[in-house]
Amino acid sequence: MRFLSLLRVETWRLFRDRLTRVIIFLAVFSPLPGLFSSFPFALTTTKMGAYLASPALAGAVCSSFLFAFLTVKELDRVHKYQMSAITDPIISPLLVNLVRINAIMIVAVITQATVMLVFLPYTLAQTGMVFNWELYVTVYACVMLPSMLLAILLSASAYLVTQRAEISFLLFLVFALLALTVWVQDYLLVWIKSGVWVLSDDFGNSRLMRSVIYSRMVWFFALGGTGLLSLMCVRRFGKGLSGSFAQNSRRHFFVPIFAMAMLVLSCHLYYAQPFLDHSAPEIDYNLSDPNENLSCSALYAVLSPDIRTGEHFGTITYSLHNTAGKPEKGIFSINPGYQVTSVTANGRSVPFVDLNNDKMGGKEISVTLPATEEIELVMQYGGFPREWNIVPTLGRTEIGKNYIKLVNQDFAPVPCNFKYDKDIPVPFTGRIILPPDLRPVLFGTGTTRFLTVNPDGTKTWWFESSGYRVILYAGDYISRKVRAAGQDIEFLYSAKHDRIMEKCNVTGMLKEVFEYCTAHYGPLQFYENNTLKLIELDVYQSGGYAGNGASVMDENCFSEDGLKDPLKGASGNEVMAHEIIHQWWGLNTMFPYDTYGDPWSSEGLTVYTTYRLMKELHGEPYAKANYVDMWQREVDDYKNNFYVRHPAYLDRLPDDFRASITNQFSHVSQYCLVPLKILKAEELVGGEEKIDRILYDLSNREVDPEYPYLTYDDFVQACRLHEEDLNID
Amino acid sequence: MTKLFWYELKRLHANQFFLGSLFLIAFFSWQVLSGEIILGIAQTAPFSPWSFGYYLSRILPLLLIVLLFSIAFFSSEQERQVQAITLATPVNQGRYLLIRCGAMIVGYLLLSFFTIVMSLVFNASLFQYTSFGDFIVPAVFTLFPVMLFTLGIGLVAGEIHPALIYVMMIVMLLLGFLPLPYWADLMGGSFFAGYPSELGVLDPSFGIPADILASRCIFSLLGIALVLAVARRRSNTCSVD
Repeated sequence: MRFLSLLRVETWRLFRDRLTRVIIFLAVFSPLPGLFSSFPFALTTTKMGAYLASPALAGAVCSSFLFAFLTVKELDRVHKYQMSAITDPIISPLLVNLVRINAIMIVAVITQATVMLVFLPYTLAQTGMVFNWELYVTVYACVMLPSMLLAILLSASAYLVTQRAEISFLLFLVFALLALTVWVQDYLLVWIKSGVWVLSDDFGNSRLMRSVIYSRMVWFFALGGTGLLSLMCVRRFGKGLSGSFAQNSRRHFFVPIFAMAMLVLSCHLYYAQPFLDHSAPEIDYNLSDPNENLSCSALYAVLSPDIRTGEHFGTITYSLHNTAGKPEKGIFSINPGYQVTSVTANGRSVPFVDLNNDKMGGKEISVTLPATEEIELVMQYGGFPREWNIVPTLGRTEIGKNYIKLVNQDFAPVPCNFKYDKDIPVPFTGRIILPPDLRPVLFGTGTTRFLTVNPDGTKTWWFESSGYRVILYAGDYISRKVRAAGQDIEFLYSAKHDRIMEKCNVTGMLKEVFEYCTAHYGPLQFYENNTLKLIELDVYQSGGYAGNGASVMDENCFSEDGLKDPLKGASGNEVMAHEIIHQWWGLNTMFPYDTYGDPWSSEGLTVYTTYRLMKELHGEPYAKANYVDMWQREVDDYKNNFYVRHPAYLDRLPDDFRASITNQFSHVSQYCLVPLKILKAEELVGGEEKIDRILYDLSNREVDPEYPYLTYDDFVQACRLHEEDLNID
Repeated sequence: MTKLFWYELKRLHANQFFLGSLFLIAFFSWQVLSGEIILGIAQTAPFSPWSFGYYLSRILPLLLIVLLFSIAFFSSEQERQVQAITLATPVNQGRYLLIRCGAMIVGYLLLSFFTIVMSLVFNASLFQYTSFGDFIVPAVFTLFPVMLFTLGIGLVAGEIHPALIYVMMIVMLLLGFLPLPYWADLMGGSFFAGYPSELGVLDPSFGIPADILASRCIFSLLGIALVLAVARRRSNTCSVD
């Protein structure tokens, strides 16, 4: 009770203090710099990013400094005026400091509430239809408020240990600078502004916000424990640091124990983080060889993603065939965050081993299959999905009430070492339970059908696909049918985006791309009876991809700014064109899969074709500036990298640095070096018309069913050139 | 005067604040070395003079803030109260201020030296690089002009109002993040990161363009002038007839 009455008095005193009022005023308007695109951490790709996340990040950084300053000033008050000789006999300095810290935290909470009220009308006006109340409150409560509270704890802990205002502020400054610079890529360490790097307008942000809350927990336990230990360092009876610590700990023995427990818990949470997997930094493109004795003829799954916890659970039944006449090891790839709880073959439990060999966003489960020709294998699995750690930003997997995205091994365990013949369809069917507002869409030629409404309000959907892998998206999708260049297209996008799609004539742009590619490279051969899907994904996708039956692209491709002003620069709308063009280069014309990671891939011709399309639409200067010059710059930058020029030093680097440089080569080669080679080929063969003819012939050539791929040699030979002719200096 | 110098040196730096600053700067330096500098700056080696200069520019805001804290110490209310005693001594106040400036400079140089040593150890242990003579010019270019300028500006700010020194700290912090032209970038980060690429050759030898050298000289002279001005003002204000 005494604590509460003191807290009330101290809080009231703080609010009447002039310095506190100045700090509150500055903190309330601290989000303002985030509204300018020049702000270092501005997120401009989406509206919620620009008008909610950016101000929250600016507020988090600026107000952290303000409240750290206030904390140190307030805690130093007694020491500065040498009043401790008078106050210590009256009231315990531990209690005084505890009350003071809590009072400053209350001030921070009230400041945060004020910020949210002040910026609400502006955010509402700017975001319009995509505004989300829950996200608004969550972002400010999880991004800005914890930064202030952590700043208070950090600076208070520093002061209570050192009893020096300057060193406390310096310590805070060091941790702030580290979080803003060196640690900025680590979502757990970037305490001052959190790991928010984008916000989706049209879909969900559950996973990113969960990771923010998780990282805040790590820091609250760490700084909470540190704060409690520092409270034990409050100087008593004229003793120094160690003497006071011993004295205080004797009287309040439970405090250091509790503090140590918090610190241990914080360390555990840090190392046991559930969001990223533990894949090795080097990318291993080698695939395991299929076992010719094993095959799978059908898959059936019953799935239930849990939107409250972000976990995914399922039971999958495989119709397997083992012609070896002896037990064989079947390897299945699964998300590294999932656990397999049981595996039965023909009704009997069979041994299985989780290899825990995280690699490229998956891990392998080895199942001992019995020596039976026909096996019905039932596997139960589930857990919280982890993302591939090669990309430090989170949110690529989403399981939330507004959006669900499950890709390949995130959806269900994928048979790895099983023989697969693409000419023999393998039906993959099943049921999935989804929130009532979400409509599922399958990537590719798969279909979904509504089955029933469940007693709890969820809906069960039936899905039908083919192959060992399924990619499923579930959101507030609406569909529009378009016909372009003789091809039926189903365009699926978020209902929130309908107005912009209509206003900016997106379907007109789609038709332009189709007509260009059909005119230059011929119609898409394999969609005679099928519709091609174009699917809008969330902004966390960062680009898009294409496959048999579908091209996907993130919501940024349809941003209002990008659609209205295509001359702003190589924009998200060109990503849309790129992903559609993949239907010609990558699907209609296939590229060798066994050289995945090598420079020659579908990306080279796709990037080149996108450049040619943009040249036709926007003119040569635009295309040169945004494509050719950019390719050359990227290639030069990579070649000029010190470690690329001196590979002997590369071995001295830590693994993750070495891997990032090696991985960079793959990206630059595919997306920049190869398009430059194709451009050079265009010049050498005699111009655009000649290269278009060559590419048309390659796209419509008669393929060898045994090896249907277009190789680099094929391209060079078709141009009647040699490989050396296309070397780029 | 020598005795006074050593006394002020001890008073300013033989304390927990200096030791704490040393520790914090060491921690921050190592993070910068192993997180950023290790990849090399502007396509040069991580042990090139350009990378070394960039490294120093990253640490510079902290070094300058410690320097400003030293100035704040001498401008604090407590020190002003002590002045009532020191003014009664026959010591010329202007010279006394210069002695204090000397003590502050020594502290700054000690911290800088420690930072430099960390970089040398880093380069020697990871890359077996020991040609440390290459680092002298970038070190002098990065550390001295801005130190003199900050010292001058800080003393002037302290003369006007002690709180202004804290405003200066915020300014120093922000300068590290603002995109300024090379001649105006006090920290030098943009110069070390951008200028080598403009030379059009790989691994260019370290050189400072005349205009940037001139700007650094101007900053240094300005700083010295401000220090001398404050010292003279103290001499005149407190002179005994």
